Amino acid sequence: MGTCKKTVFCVLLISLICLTGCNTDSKEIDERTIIVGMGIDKNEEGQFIVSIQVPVIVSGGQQGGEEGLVSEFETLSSTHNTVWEAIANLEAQTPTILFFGQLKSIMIGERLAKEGIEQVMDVLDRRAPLSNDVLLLVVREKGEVREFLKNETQLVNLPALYIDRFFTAEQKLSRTDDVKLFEYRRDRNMISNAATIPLAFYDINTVIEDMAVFKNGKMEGELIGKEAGISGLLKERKMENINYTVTIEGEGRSLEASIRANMDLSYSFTETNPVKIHLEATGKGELVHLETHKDRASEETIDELHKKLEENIKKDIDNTITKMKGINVEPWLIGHRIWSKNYAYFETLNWNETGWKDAQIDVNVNVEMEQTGQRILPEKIKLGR
Amino acid sequence: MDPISQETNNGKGELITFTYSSTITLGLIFLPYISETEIRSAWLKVVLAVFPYFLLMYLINKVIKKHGEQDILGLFKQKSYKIFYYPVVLYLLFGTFYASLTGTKSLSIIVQTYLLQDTDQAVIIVAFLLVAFLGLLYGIRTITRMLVLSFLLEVAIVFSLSFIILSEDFRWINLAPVFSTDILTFGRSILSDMSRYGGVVTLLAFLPYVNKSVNIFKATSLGLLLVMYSYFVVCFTALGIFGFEQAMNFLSPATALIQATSARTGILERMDLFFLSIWIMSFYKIALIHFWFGTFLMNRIIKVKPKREWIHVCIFVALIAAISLSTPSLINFSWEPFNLNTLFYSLVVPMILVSYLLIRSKKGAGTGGDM
Repeated sequence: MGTCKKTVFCVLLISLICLTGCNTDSKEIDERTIIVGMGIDKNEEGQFIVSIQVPVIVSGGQQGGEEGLVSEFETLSSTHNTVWEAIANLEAQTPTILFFGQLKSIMIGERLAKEGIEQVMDVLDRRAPLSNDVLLLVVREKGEVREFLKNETQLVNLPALYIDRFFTAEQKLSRTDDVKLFEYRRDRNMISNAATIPLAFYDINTVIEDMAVFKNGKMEGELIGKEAGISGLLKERKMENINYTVTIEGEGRSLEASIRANMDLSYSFTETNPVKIHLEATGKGELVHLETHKDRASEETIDELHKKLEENIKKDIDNTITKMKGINVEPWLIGHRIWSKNYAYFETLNWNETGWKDAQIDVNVNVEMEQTGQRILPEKIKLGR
Repeated sequence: MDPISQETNNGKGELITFTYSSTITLGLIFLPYISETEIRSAWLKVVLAVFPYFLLMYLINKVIKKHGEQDILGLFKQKSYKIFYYPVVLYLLFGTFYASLTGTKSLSIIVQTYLLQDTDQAVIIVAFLLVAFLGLLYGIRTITRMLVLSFLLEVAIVFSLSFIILSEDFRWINLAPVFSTDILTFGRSILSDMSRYGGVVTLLAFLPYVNKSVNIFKATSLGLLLVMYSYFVVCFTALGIFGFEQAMNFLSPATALIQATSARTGILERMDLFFLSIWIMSFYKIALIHFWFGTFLMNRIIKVKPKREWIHVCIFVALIAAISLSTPSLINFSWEPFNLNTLFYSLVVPMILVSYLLIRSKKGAGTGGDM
């Protein structure tokens, strides 16, 4: 069969080479418009405004001209009744095909978020080139999404990359948290149908803080400042590096102390109707600032700090829970935990209608001071002269 | 009995690799959920579904030990009547053809979805089949060498997925409740999942090429254990990372897992596409194994000289190409008849076959065998 094999091999090899030439997907990099950021919003007429951010390869200014005056990205926008048609219009504005494989972040306008993002999510879910770990962000209504995309920052050249860098660096500010496309989808599918997405706006600088709260795909509320950190604690059952500044009485006057705490949380519930939920928050604190060096972190001061810190954390947890009960959204998987442990009991609670609102939650906070300083120990007492 | 090629020097390693490669790809690509209706604990199903196949391997081993012959189909021909033998081989051929066809169509969907969005499925199918056809012409020895070559890489990737359990994105709460259906539904669900291991039926053709000193049961069980562990890891981590509702809708949970958990840096910005290219290799492996099994069975029905075996290869691949290209894409494909058929041809029929051979005495051939 030797000759026959050789003939077949040659014929097939030629056919294969021809096939690769006919491949419509064979696009060189200069034939692709690489999209790194995408913004989606709605206008007052209810149409979708889709904006894309495209990096432009530039030399950094013409020879002899001023350096750095050339923008390194271009933002294009299009408006249409559907997201997909708006994207098609954008393609008409570019000389090459749109490539979503490098998309880093998707910015959703607050107006669209309040009307509901299910329609947008469906397009994003079905398109395979778009990775499921794309970051999501809600842009506050005070600025338009396309304007947010256009804003240059001195720190990172492309706004879309700024967001990616911000979350990749895992800034431990406990004021916001990254949410990827698959994480949003996962949380939205949980028993409470609630999820969160970080909020952002542009005001001289790009500011990413607070969390938008969604139920059934619609933005129903916000978690602001520390509430976002507390929300992380309630959901992930741990929170790192949350800062508290408390005022205590010491040495005959008021002292201001700053503490950094790492917290863990455990849940239990009693099967009553309404359900009684017990939250046990335990953590370790570190004293990072005590007004002046002269003020000593004595045992009494530390005790006082414990109490104040525990009170403050408890108050914040209570406030955050009350806020979410107010809009009847439970984004922390509490209902899901009950559902997975005792389905029959969960069914009696009518969780999404009244069960969460009526739930009786008691919070117990216990913080232990672990350190009073990392580099210096000002508590030492000098002996002698 | 049909003369088996002289290439019977495949050892334990080749047998483990063949067992693993014969069944892993299709199962993984569509893991953890392959039917229209699903239950949450797919990870438990895949663990339980492997046991009947262990039993099959045990029985095959007993038959080999009893009759001193590794060619099970040849033995069946010898010990039974033509009226039973030919329908069984024909049915096995039909099952293999059906599985090969589904695999080819699935490959075209996966490739079109993740790699070549604008390329026609027909182009993908033709290019795939042409390369597979070439591989088949070189026979089982070359195919086995190819399997061994990429086996370790494939296993390493699947095993590296185990570490996803340690990631922050993995949520144990997504796994509960473990039992969310009644026993009957759970049992039926296990039955549908058994089809994931269906590829091992090809061992009926491979065993004659294995060195007689190899402990068949040990090697095939180890291969099956590896397959089971791979399935388990993908099911378990997909459920923990994505939750039930999202995981069951993925076209390829294994690819989605790698997308969600791989670090996006530098050249390997899209690690998932790199891994996908390895799955494409796996598709070639499983296609080569099943196509070869198909031609092996064709040869058992219409015997040709070794130098004319390419005729069977041509017919088999041409039929796959013709039907693949002339039927619509697998949208809304009904997996139930496919799963049932796979279960029947890969487990029930071989089980009956080996049970029959076990009760037949070592000596005394059937009257119908045309040796």
